Amino acid sequence: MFKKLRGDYERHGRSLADPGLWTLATYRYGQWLDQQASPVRWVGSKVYGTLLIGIQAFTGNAFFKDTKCGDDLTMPHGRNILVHPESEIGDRVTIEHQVTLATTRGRPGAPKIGNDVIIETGAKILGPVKIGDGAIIGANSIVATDVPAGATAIGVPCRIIKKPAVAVEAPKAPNGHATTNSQS
Amino acid sequence: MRFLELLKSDFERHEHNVREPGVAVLANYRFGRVVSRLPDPLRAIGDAIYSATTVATELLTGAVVSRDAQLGEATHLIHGLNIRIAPGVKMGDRCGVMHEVTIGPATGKEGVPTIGNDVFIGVGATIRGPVKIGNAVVIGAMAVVTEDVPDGCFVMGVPAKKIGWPTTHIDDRGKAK
Repeated sequence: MFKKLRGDYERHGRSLADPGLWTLATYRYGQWLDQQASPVRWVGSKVYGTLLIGIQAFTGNAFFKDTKCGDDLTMPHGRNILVHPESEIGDRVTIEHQVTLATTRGRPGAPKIGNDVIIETGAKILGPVKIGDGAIIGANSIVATDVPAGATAIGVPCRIIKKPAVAVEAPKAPNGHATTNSQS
Repeated sequence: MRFLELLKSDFERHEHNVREPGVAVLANYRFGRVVSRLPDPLRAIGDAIYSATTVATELLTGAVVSRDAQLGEATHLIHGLNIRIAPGVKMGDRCGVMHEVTIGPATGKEGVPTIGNDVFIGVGATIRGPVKIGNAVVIGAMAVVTEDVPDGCFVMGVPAKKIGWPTTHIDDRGKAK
């Protein structure tokens, strides 16, 4: 748990005042608690509940210990993020503020997010949808359909752009010309 | 004294209402600007106070206006909750910013927006990347602006499209300009 917490701390700009770090720390604690034996778990769950109320009151985040979450989740500006307990999140995912991952009316099931996904400000992912590896969900988009790997989804309701958008292109080896420009 | 004049202009814009969260957020921002210009021993003390007040305002309002952003006079943070303004953003005078607005760099790219005077930014709007927003622009609710917007234009949608050029537009106090 402490090794993971240390990684969270590094990724959140080495700031103890980061609400995303508090949320992840509470989540890590909840995960650790689930592995403990009965008396420790009972006492610890009361502390966890109190922490959860504090996190919800002060940061508006709802991120529960039942969520399956991979390594290296980053929440820059971690505020008002709602993640359904049944949703699954892959490795190295970035979730910005005002994001909701939740169920929707009439379609039971929560979203499954792949690895290396970036979910921008204010995006809502609703229902049992799968977001492929390396996908980017644009700001203020509403996603209720599957998004293939590497695609960019933007709009209300979202349109899927097959090629990655220029503005948010995944880092690639730049050609010689671009390299010299960036270094100068 | 410039600090007090700016603070007064913000306070007047919020209709002298101390309970507005925007007043606290802007006061903290203006204070941070003053602290960053102080000479060294004073600056260390000021920075400690500023970081404490920043954590407090962030906890209570969710709004973070970086002190490295440049806001003009008489800024109005309407219902100033959950606003994010990134370092380096330039904003003109008399702008109205509603709640849940994000102004900052696009994912994985350098550059922040430059915003003109008398701009109104609707609830939940996001302005990302090195874009230029002209004077007297109206940005609709939940719009995502990733391209330049000319003077007096009205944009909305995800991604934002130009809807028209309102000849008179309502300012954020409900009065026509």
